Amino acid sequence: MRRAGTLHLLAASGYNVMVLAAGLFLVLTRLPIPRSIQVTLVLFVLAAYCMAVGYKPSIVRASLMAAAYLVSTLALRTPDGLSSIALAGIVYLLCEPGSAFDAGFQLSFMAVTGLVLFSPRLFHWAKKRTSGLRSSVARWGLTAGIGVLGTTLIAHMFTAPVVATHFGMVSVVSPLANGLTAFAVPVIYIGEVLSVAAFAFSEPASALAEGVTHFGVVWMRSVNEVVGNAPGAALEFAPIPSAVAAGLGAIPFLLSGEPRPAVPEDDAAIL
Amino acid sequence: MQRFEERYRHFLLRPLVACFPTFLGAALSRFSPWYWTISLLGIWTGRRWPFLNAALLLLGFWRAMWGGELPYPITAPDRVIEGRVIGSPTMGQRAQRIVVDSGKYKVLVYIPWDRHVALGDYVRVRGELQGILPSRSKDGDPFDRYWLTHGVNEKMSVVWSGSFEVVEANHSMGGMAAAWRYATWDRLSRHMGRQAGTGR
Repeated sequence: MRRAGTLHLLAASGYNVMVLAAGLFLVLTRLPIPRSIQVTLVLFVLAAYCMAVGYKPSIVRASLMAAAYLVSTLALRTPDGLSSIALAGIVYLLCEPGSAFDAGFQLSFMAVTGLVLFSPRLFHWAKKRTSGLRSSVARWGLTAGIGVLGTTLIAHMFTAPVVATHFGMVSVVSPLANGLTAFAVPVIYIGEVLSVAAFAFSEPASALAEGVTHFGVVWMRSVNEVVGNAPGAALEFAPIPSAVAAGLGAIPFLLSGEPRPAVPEDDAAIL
Repeated sequence: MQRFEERYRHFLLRPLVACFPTFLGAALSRFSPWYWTISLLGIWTGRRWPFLNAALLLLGFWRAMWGGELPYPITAPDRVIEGRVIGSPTMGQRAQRIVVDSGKYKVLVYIPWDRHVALGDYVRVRGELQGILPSRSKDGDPFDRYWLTHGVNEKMSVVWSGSFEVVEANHSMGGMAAAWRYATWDRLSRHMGRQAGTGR
């Protein structure tokens, strides 16, 4: 999984928090309960999840960002990704300043900063390019495909210097492997949750849900074995010095612009 | 300079982002006095918010001083350590790793993977204390430096010898979360094992 660059998918990562928080919030918004209680419940589950996985940097970072997002929507304010990342960084380093040297901390914050800076533009660009397609299924599929590949490429670009300095390698096939396996994480999660929930009522139903989890795990494992073991899947070298990594890591930041997408041309015409 | 500020206004016009280096440099001065120079960058980028910047600078320096000295080798190597588990266990294939805080020092402890232990449990560990050698882990992390930054420079393994017992279990939310964690770990292990043809 390391050679395929997909280790973060099954490890406790911010992606899992996103799947958990978004899924739970989606369910809660369908229920006739006040928004403040919905937000409180999601925050409570996120706190329990942080505790269960041992306050891993990526989990705490994602949970703090989710909390900032949810609280800002509750206060009718526009959530701001970059400010949420900075807030999460300050809170985490206040508790554990040594984490600044931790590969997990650096990978998590670099990847998500890259996504906040570049992914809205990517999706805007993908939407614009696919708007000419007549079939809505093809339009949606192509946008989603570009989105998945593009976001993994962005995360890869921002984290490559960190990986190079800590692990002395860079996965070449990471965007492809992530694109093929990212969908399996929610499948594993949902299967596991359903299996646990169904166990109290029906063992066959629980076994069926466990089969869904098993499918997700088998798919991830197979893709990682094929892609990760391909010749040239990863470039391996002596770990690069931190100062060089810092210089390389600064390049995508210098290329960045305002993270919010520009007003679409159609909207500009209407305005 | 004006062009630079215009080009990177997405960083410079967000108070927490612009002032973040101020806090970072001050907090990291705990590890090397030279890290405080990062704060100089933050003082410049966050100059539009002098009060926030000053508050974060003070907060960072306060954090750098709080927590006392960095860990030192334990001079009287206790064979029995009692303390609270801080952070949830990290699961491995044959063992799990926990950090026990005795109040005087923190120790990395390896215990068999099937022993249930949760964040906040009060535990007693009997074994031999060893320094964490400056070797590189299989992931390539400088292991000793990593743990030193987390206040730990001794380890104890009770996987094959020694003893481990939970004196007082944590019955709060952490305990419940740990139970869920073990159940999920067990189920995922079974899936992985089944795929590899080594199902338990």
